[in-house]
Formats: sequence, structure tokens, C-alpha cells
Amino acid sequence: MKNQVIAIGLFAVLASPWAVAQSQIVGLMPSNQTTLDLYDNVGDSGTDTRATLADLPMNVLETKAGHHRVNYKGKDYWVRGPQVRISRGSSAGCTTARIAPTTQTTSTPGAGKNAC
Amino acid sequence: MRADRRRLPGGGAPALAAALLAVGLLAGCETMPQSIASLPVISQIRSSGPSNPLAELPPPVARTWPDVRQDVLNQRARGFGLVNAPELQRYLNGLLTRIKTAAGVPNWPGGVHVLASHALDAYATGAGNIYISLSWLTDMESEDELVALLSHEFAHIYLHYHQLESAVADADTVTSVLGLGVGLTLKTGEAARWNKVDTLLTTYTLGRGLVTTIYSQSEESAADRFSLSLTHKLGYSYEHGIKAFLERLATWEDEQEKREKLQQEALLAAIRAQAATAPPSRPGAAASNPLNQGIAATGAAAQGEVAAAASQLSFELTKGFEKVAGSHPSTLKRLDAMAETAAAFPAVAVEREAKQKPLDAARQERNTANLLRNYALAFKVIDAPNAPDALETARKAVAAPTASHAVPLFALYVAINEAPPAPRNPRTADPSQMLEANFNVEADRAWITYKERSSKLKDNRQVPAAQRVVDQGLAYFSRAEEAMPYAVRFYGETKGWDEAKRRAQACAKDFPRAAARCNQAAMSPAEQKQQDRTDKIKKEGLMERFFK
Repeated sequence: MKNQVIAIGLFAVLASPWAVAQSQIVGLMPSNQTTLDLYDNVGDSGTDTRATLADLPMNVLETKAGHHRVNYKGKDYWVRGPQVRISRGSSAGCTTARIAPTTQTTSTPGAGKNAC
Repeated sequence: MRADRRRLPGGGAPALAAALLAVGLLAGCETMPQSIASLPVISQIRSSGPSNPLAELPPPVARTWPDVRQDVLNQRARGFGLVNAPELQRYLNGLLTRIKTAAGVPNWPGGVHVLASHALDAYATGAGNIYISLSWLTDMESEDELVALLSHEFAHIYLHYHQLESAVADADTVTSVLGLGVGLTLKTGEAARWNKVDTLLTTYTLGRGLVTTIYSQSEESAADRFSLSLTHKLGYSYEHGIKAFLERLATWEDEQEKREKLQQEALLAAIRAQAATAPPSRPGAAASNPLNQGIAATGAAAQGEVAAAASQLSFELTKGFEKVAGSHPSTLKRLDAMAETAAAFPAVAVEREAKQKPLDAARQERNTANLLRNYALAFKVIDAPNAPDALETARKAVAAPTASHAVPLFALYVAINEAPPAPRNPRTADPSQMLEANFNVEADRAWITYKERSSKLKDNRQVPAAQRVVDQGLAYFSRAEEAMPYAVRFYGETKGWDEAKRRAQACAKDFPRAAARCNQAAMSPAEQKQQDRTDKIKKEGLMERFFK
């Protein structure tokens, strides 16, 4: 019983919503890529500058015409949107799911797995 | 996109080999009823490159539609029910109409409904309805992302994903009848031990799990491709549409996993801390074997370590199993599959500006804006009912247009429960009474308010009043299967377990999907205790069978 009380208390402390973070580039797409092309301008067709997985995450400073502006080693560059995976913030939480858990039926698993 | 071009998520030889092995196993598995084994996808799985999202959609499958209104009623009985948001729903249904038209089925039934859920949650039902949580609508950055999500859900309807459900229900029924037949031939003395029925049911359950996993994961990938196809056709962006939708889902899942891990670590630390301060235990009568005696002898701290290790192992096993056997391929795999498709068919990923204004306009409409604000306040209170401003915040949430909605009322209810009563003004009324405001407005009704109110009245020994609340609720929710398990248990506790069993039988007849939950709810505490004991013996028997 005491364990349960401790667990519930800890759960309440830790269950507060996560802060919505600034958009970041957190991965490359497809995920087997290892380098990221960095362009001086939106629409440039070629580049010799490349970042690696070790340089991630990178903050997205601006988004324009399918490209994201990032700062790499002190200089601003543009990366192509389809080549990166962005971390997108959410105000969602498991508040209601904890109080009134729902059972998924076989054929209605939803858009994604039940993360709560 | 033809149905026979569906491929397994992740693709490649290992996935295909696993799928073929599974199909092969099932083909030879006599315990797998034909209704599942003959599902179309099982015979159509084959490896191929990304299918062309610009090709024609497969023709729609003819089917009998379940009752749309009964389906909506049932969703009102799940969780916190639905959000009555007419203006927002008008906008969402306008988008769904465009999706249906683009798919060539403008007259199909069903609409979009908003779930009163704080999670990122969305699903479709066989009746043609799509349910999407308020948080998705709050978080999405553009109409492109919203249409991608709606198209993904609509894909499940279009591709007739829900045939899996009826196949599984049929198979479950066949198997339970078969199991009963075998069970009757066994001696009574074998009932508590691991027996043929258990073997049969376990084989079936494992096989069913394998099929539904393959089927579900392949369907999810097919739904993503369908969504990409439709959103492109409708002029929406790949980058801001399906890619953004999957990226948000991936971020949410990552955050929840981190949160779970933190909770697990905190729990482990607490178990250890508690064990460290507890007095050392003495080897007692319960320590009947050398292992237990050894553990007992090492004292409480070691016991804490053992408990912590067991907890950690259980957590890791659960997460590992979810990864292998989840209904969805990992979101990263889904993103990869989309990236491969976009690379193979660049026209589908052509740069298009995000359409933000229509979504912003829908969210800024006066009633909708007030509703979103009030729900955000209510979620905040339910999340932290002890916060100093919780009561004040909850009162703001219970204002037009959400004064009779379940979530804001529940927020106020929990805030009052948590607030210390004023010394000169002791609390006299039961706070759960305020939940009755939800009963009065049909469009806002949620079964959870009836459950909570009746439960509190019952606990306060006001059984006739509690029964009136449940009766009143069932008068509205009588066709909602999700309402039945609680009703069965409630009547068991208040009118006796024979009444509960009678109601469970009716539940099983009317709602086969809820039969197991209703039967479980109809068990008296003594029967439950007996079942727990039997389960324990069976588990021990299984261990003996494999490890002695």
C-alpha cells in the first residue's frame, strides 16, 4: 500500500505537461542518411558543405519555401525540408487518459500507438 | 495504388521472411479460424518498392454500414466522451466532404467528431466516423497537416480495415465455443491446472496476435500512402501535410516514452529508498524454499533491489513487446517509407505553401476560441488539482460555451475535492452533484459523469439515488456498449450478482465485442478471488511445464 502511495505521488509530480520546445532538426530522412546538405541560399542546386548526424539537433531559425534556416558553426545555411526530420511540439498530455482510460478495439488503433 | 501492392512496413527480406513465416504458421494452424486466415491482406503481402501515390486508388469495397448514430453514442460512453463544438465540426466535416469526393465516394456516411481527450488521439470506426482529439486540433500548424490526418483515418474506412474486427469477433466466438467443448470433456479436477483448453486458447491467442499485428501494421502503411495520394490530389503539401503529421506523432511518442522512463526510474529509486529505511525482515514461515530464505536473509535493502530489478525487467519486457507486436509500425519507419516514396515520385513532394489561414480562422471563431481556451484551463486543473489557483482556473473553465461539458465540470469537481474546506464554512454538499449539469444537455452528455456521480452516491450509501442516476444514464446510453461493463458491475454491487450475470448475458448478446468485459464485471468479489487463485495455479503449472 505504501509503495502504491509513493508511486502515485511520484506519478503526479512527473506527469506535468512537457514544455513545448522550439522546432529542431532531430534526424535525417530517410533515417539511413548520414550527412545533411547545407545551402547558402534557398533554391541552390549544389553545395560542398555538409553536416553530420553528430551536429544534430539544430534549431530551426526560419522556414521558407520548403527550406529551413539553421546555424552551423557560426554561419547560417538552408536545408531542404524533405531531407530532415523536425521535432514538432505539442500541448497534449495524458491527463484524461489516466482518469478515464479507454480500450482500443482491434480495428481502431488510431493514427499512432497509444502513447499514454 | 492497388491493394495487392501493399507491402510490409520497413520492407526488406527480414520483414518479408517474418511475415511469410507467420502466414505459413497460420496456414497450418488448426486453431486459427478461417475468418481471420482468409483476410485479403494475408494472401496479398509481398515485397515491392514504394507504390505510386499518383496512381488510381483501388476501387472501394462494398459493405454494410453500421448505424452512424449508435457509433457516436458509443464514443460518448468512452473516456470523457465528445466535445460539442458545432462550428469546429462544420469546418472539419467540410474537409471530410472534400476527401470523400476526391476518393470518389461523396455519399458515404460518417462525419468528424472531436474527442474530449488531452492526448494526441485519432481513430476511425467502421460506421464511417472519424474521431480526433482536441489536442490535435490545437497543435496542428496548417490545414495540410489536418487533411493528412483526416485522410489517413479515412483510408482505414475506405480500405475496409474494420473487416478485421468482425473477423476477430467471429474467430473469438468460434474459439471460445470450441474451448468450452474441450473443457466439458475434461475432469473437474483439471480445471485449476494447465489443461488442453488453456493450450488451445493460448495457441489461438498467440496466432491471432500475430495475424492482427501483420494486418494492422500493413494497413497503417497503406493508410499513410493513401493519405499522401489524397492530400496531393487535393493540392496540399507533402512537407507540411503527412510529413508534419508523422513528425508530430513521433515527437509526442518520444516525449511520452521519456516520461514513462523517468517515472520508472523514480519508482525504482522509491522502492530502494523505502527498503533502505525499512527494518530488516526475519526469515519467516513464508520463506519456504532456499531462494526465498536467501532473499529474506539478505535483509530489506536487498529485497528492495530485487523488487526494483523485477520492476525494471517487467518495464523493459513490456516496452520490448510493444515494439515488436504493436499495431503500428514505428512512426520513424512510417516517416522513412514516406521519404522513400517522395524520393521515388518527386511530383508528390513538390513544394507547396502551407495553408494556414483556414485552420487559424476555424480556431479563432468566437465559440471555438472560447471552447479551446476553457478546455486548456480544464486540462491544466485536472493535471495539477493541488495548484494554488486550481479552483479559480476551474471556475473559469466552467463558463460558456463549456458550462455543461464533462471535462471542465470534472476539473471543477477535482479542484473542489482537493481544496481544503474553509474553517467556518465546512463542505456540506457532495461535489459530485455538480456533474449533473452534464446530464441536462444532450449534445454534451458523457457516460463518465454518470459513472462518477453514481459511484460517489453509492459510496455515501445513497444507493436508491445512485440507481436513479445509472437508470437515467442507461435510458440514454442503452445502445452504447462502452457503458455496459460499469452498469453490470454497479448492479452487481447494488442488486446482487445474479442480476449482474443476467445483465452480462444481455450485454454479450447485444454487444459481442463487450462480452468479455461484461462477464468479467459480473463476477462477485468471491468469484474474482477464486479466479485469481486459479490463474495463479495455472501460471505456476505453466512454469513447471517448461522449466522443471
